[in-house]
Amino acid sequence: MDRRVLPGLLDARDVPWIRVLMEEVDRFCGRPLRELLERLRRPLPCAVPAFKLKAAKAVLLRLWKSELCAEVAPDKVREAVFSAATNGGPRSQALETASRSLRLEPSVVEKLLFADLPGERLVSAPATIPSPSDLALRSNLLIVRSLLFHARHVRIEVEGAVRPLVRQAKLRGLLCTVTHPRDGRAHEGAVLDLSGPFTVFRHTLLYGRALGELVQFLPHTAHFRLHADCVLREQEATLELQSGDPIFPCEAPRRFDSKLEARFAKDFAKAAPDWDLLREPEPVSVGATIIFPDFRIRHRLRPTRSFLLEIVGFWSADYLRHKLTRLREAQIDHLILCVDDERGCSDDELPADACIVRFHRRIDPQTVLAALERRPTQV
Amino acid sequence: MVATLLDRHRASRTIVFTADNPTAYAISRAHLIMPLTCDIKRKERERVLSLFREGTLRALVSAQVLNEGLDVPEAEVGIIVASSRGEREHVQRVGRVLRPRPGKHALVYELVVRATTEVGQSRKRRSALAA
Repeated sequence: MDRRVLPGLLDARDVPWIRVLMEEVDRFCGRPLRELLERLRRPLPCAVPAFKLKAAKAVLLRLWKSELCAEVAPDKVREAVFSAATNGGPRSQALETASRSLRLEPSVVEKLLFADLPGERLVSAPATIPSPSDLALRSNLLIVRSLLFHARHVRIEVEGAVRPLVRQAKLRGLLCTVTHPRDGRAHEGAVLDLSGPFTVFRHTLLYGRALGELVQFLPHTAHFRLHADCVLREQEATLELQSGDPIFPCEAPRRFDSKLEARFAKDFAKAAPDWDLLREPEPVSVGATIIFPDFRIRHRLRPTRSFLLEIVGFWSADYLRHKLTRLREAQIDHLILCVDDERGCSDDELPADACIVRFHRRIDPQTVLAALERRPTQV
Repeated sequence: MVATLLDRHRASRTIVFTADNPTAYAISRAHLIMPLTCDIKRKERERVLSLFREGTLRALVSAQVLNEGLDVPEAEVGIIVASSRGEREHVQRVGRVLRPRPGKHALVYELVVRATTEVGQSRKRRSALAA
């Protein structure tokens, strides 16, 4: 039976204890991280929901970083001190000998001995200290991302700024199908169906992180509704999120290329001077679904000879088979799929009859050209 | 006790085994012995082991890094400070010191707190070692 998840997001009521927590963390600036962690293990002087506190602490520890402050590299100090101690004599004498060779005070030598260990690094405040309400939003983002790690399937209904969101999903290589909304508002938005980390057999952690990263882009759409089927402690659960929910938004997505795409564009231009490569062509409707190809490849002398190319990120044979079936039903056979060997999420064989170019790290333009030659289709 | 043993075997190459990293660092600070833990980078660990082999360093303290996989036939004395670990790990630790070398005479100390469960656990581990 479905159990609705109330993610217990932080809101204005949580601001007082967040302020206390931030002041407490800030008090440890310039002190070893070990001391801060020890303090955070003890309760705050006010009542705080444990789940929310855990998220807020995790966010704070990402913002208040710990850094090494040492005039001499600690490994050099250790070598000098422990070699001096090997020769016998009292502890103070060994420190004295080492301090002379390092030209430092004995007290400084002792301080630097383990200064590079994770717990000994000194806590430093971020350049811009966030407000408590800002920290609440960041904590909420972390909560949602951690819940999505347990997702089986995620559906995002979105209106406005669909393309940038799809682009972000594609850049992260998510297993994603885009369809028109069922209520016929085709021009207004789209529905993204994403596989959750629970359905992939390999790269689960990487995939979960990539899926979670998508959430911060949702506030930039005109309207969204996220519905995720999760498995929490072996129980089915549902996560619902929509526009207006207090989630920390990232900066508006910038138009940028993935290194893979940029490199392919460069390599292809060099290897195939007779072909034009067009970035981000118009989306293609395939029945109820929408496909967002990465490139259109068109022959300069015979412009009717035109193909679409899509770079697939994480993939499973099932996902590709399903996609190819839809393409075949829509009689689209000029789409070439490029799949990354490293991002296979299952051990199944790829469909044999498909026009698929496999690659490792970089897409070889010659392999793509050979695939084009095998496709006589003219569009 | 650790201080007494380290002092007694100052001329020998000694490894102190602890249960966790904080104990290893505490012993390291107090007795100025090089610690070998997961926090110490691989490059430095390798340099330290080579200094230990050539005798520039004569004592090391380790939580788990030296339990398995590293060969230190030069070690002559082992001081096991943490005795709460299992039989397999105990065999590994003792094995570090018992690595054969011509003319080598190895000694292993296990420190336990009198009138605690540590005594029984230690006896059990030693019987497993003898078997």
